[in-house]
Amino acid sequence: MKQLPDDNTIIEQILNGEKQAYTMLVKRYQQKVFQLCIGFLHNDDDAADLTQEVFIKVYQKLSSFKGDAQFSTWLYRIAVNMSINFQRKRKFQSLFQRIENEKESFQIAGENDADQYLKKEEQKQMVKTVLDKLPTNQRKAIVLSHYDDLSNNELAEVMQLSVKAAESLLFRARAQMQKILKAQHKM
Amino acid sequence: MKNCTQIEKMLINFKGDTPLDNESKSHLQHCDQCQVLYLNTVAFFDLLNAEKSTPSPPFLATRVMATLEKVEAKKGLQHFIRKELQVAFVVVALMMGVGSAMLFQPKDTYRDESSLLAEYFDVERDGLEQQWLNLYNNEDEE
Repeated sequence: MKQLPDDNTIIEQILNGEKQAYTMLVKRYQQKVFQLCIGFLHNDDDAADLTQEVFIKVYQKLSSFKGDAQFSTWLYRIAVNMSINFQRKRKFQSLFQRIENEKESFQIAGENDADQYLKKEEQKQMVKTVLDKLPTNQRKAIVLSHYDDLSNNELAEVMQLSVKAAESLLFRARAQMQKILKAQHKM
Repeated sequence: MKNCTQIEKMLINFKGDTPLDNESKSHLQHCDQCQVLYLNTVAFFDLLNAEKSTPSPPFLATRVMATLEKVEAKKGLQHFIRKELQVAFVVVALMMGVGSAMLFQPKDTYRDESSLLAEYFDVERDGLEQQWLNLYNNEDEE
């Protein structure tokens, strides 16, 4: 069976003008980047759009990738930063516009699926509420660890921390999440 | 049997798929508060895992490559237009320079000093000096 080339070989090919080789990188990481985006945004359409934007930005910045770290680390770092920026921008989106968007999705879902759609949205809202209450760094740690299944070493690399600091950040994030879950129950 | 603090600590590291040991199970059977916290944590991780397993959109790679091609074509066009505009601007500036130079060039140029002096002191036609003098005189009269 033909073995696929590693990331650095593909990057070399792209930089030498073989642009189509980028398809291999996109296919290799699209699910991981999408999972990361959905962990921050909790909306399939927004996550799909953002995943596309991430890959476009990565391609445009590919010449600045020095290869000191793994390509995946660099990619995740860009995806995390873009997700946080997207979230900030979305906070400024008017409430009215958001309601309109939700109405539209509700109508597209059709009447039969409406109940299921509402239930799914409610569940997403619960996850979103808990995660959005976390400070940004803790949220990054939770998303990278739980949505992308990164090990503590990988998490430390992406967040540019020592492994000990990353472990401690993740523990604090989980403890904080537990506090939020407790508080939600009391309400 | 474990106490509440131990259960809370255990739940901090819970990822949704960790099986409970017997000691934890027996505590949860007797402690309502910990039971609720456990159920909430399990529900939260179930939802998180469900969200996480959403598949990425199909043909994403194709869409990315198509967008990249569009962006590159647009960039190329912009670069070309910018270059063309630069050339056009230089040509127009040169033409305007030459045009204005021709426009402001005096029509009657004096080839030598004597013709200039002749015009200046031309007595028959009230030379330039006389014309200016008359001008001031006329002003005085007014």
